[in-house]
Amino acid sequence: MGNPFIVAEDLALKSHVQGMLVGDEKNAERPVKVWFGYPDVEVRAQEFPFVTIDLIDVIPANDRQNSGYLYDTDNRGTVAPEAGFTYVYEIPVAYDLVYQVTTYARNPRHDRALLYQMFNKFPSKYGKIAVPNELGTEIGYRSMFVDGFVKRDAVDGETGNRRTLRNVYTVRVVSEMTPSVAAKKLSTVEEIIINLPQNNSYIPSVYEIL
Amino acid sequence: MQKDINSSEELATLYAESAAKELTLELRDLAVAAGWPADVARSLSVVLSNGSLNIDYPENMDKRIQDLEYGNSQTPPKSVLRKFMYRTEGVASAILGGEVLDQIVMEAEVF
Repeated sequence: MGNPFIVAEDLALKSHVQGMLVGDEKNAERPVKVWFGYPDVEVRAQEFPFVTIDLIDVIPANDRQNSGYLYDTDNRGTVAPEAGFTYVYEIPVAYDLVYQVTTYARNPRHDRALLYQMFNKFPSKYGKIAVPNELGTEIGYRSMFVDGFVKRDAVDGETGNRRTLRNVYTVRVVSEMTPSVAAKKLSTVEEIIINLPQNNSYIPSVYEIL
Repeated sequence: MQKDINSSEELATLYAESAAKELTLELRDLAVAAGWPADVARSLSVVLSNGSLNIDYPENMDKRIQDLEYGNSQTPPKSVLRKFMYRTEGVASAILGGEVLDQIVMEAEVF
């Protein structure tokens, strides 16, 4: 079984960012690690350069929301198709997921190499990430937009007088959640059955019922 | 005191100024909810300048606000400004709706 809404996009984005290499005089192919959130020095070693991913907002995308029903044979890739079975489901609820993707480097050459690779991975237009369906049988491509970029280099104070070269990308990933997922997570009580005593003249105390 | 409105531009400005006050309160609430220090949250405001609504804050708060918004080497980002901007994208059209559009139609006599 694959990953549901948000978790799938998180992993897809991490996969999309992973695989970058930077070079310097000591190591021509230094891999760039990717973390969800800033790596805690007490948990793992901070090996520069690295990239962090933070989910900063989930926005209902009402401007592109449709309503109605769709039909298919694999329930949007969540079950294996069977002959004679057709699934009908509500059009998914549209959301935009907003991520902050930050690169950290000590070496200016690493910083520039990361900038080049990141702008290739996150173009301002026509960006997309591959998100596998829950069965893992198909891949959907979600549109992705760079809504902001800032350079947040720090040279003293917070970094203990060590240079940290940071690039912050605000990335918006177009997504959707199927109403059936929401319904499963928040199922409502439809019927309450209480065993009432047969003799109507007798009214039990609340403690007896409980 | 009742102000005389002579043009759609004046009416739009009046609405925008009123909206700026409400948006300032919303922005500060969002900042407090995100865990920003109270003095930083209070320093934020939405102002009408050159015909558009912009977020404003004192220059001496810039470093603290940027660190809170984007995070730094010690703390993760607690985004408020970007959240606020995503949520208020439709505000301009809401301000210009109804009465202002009526005024524009009347002025231009496009009926």
